[in-house]
Amino acid sequence: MIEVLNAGFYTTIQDYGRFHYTQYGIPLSGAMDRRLFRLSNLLLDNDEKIPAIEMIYVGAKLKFTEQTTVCITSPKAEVKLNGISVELNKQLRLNRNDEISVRQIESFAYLAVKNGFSSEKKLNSYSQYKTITKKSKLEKGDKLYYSPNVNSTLKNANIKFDNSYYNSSEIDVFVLPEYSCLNEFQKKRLNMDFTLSPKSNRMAFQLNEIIENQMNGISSKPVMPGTVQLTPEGSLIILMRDAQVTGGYPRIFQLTEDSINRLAQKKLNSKIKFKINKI
Amino acid sequence: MIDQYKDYKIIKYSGNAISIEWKIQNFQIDFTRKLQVFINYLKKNNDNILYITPTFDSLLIRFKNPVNLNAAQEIIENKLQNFKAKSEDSINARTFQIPVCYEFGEDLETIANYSKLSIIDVIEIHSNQIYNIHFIGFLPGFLYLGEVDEAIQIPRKKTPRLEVKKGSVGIAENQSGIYSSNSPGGWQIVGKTPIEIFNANQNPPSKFLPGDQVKFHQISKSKYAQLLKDQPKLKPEND
Repeated sequence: MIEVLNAGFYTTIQDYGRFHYTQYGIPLSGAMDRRLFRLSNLLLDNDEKIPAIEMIYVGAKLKFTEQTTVCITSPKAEVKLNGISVELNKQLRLNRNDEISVRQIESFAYLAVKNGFSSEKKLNSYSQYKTITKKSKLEKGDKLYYSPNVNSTLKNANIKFDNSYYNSSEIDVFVLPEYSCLNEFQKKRLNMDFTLSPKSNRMAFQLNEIIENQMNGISSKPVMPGTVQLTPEGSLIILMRDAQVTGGYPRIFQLTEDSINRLAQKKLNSKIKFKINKI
Repeated sequence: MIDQYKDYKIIKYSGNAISIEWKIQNFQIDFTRKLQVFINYLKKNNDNILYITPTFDSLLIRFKNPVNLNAAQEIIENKLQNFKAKSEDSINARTFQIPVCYEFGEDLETIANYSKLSIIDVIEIHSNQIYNIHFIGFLPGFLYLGEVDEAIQIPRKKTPRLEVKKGSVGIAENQSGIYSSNSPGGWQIVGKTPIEIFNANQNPPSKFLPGDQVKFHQISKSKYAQLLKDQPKLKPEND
């Protein structure tokens, strides 16, 4: 089993998320960076849909009581196996009672286990979310069971990790209906740099800059992860994986799937710039 | 879809999603019910649809795989046209009785003062109305209900409560709502229902759908305690 010795800042179990229930107001959830979530499983030759452990900034300290192989993916993180630094984004062979700690993550990391681990499945997904799963995140003392994997000669999945995907500050977007209601000044301002606010979380990322705005709310409309809303106070909110499924703020942009992954990995206070794409 | 609702636009939302927005002034129960039938029809006739999110005047259709949006737009347009032929289709209105203990109405006095009525009047007016479920959102299972009688309409609280208890029934402007779980919230609370309106252990997790109706009836604190324990199954009156 995996024993959580220290849960870290906000460690959750995630998969691709919970579809088919948006009409009941249930968020999609799922891994913030789907690309690295997927890669964590693929590097182990796992089914890409099985859940992994997601960590942010300060990760967890975990004890593995049986032999297995794991993989931790992240653009940048400090991973220690029994106190000794090890490499990211590749298979990691574990012996009985090995301890793994993940820290200094920029910003999300995924830990997948060969053939997965057991956890609570609700409404067709393992993604943890308040009021849906019993626990909304991992806590110290939690135990996740897995089948020991004694075969150390794993087929070596040959996938190259490309960090440059995360380097660009450009965030690709499409324009949404209320963009056309903006004035020229507002549109021009949207072409300039924005700063990622520390108030960001799995529900939404906020931007520091304020755009002067007279637009009122709209009748509640469906939204998705990646929808950029402009509040009456002039703040820009970028909805992320745990966002509500409807919203009453004007919708300005929609991020591409790649851009959601890239944005998730941006450091707090880093600069981003919207780049409008034609659909 | 149906003659009186032909004023709509189809919006390319992203590389894998399309939105349909109808021009509708206010919530219309007849339209909401037809929309439910249309959603089922779309899902049945398109394998590439991952999910559909409705509100009272729009739909978001998310496809499983990136699609040619022009082609998808045409297909949806077509489905809207085809659906017209069966426009008499409508789901049957279901009406649910929901017990409410108004003794938990923390904001009844505020509402009474605001609307210059007695607390008893506010309770009477709130529980005499039949409400339509506009849509489910904000929290998993949270019911948006309309329309609150003009006499007791009131804006949200200026400072939201850090925690509104699960089961709380509130008013915000012309809508009433039921909190499906503990949550921060700004609605003016008139009472509390002992009945679980949302349960993630069941599939589907909510018995309600947009277009259904809700009637509140007043119960005492002791009845509240009893129903909280018994959790009788919620059944529509006219099923």
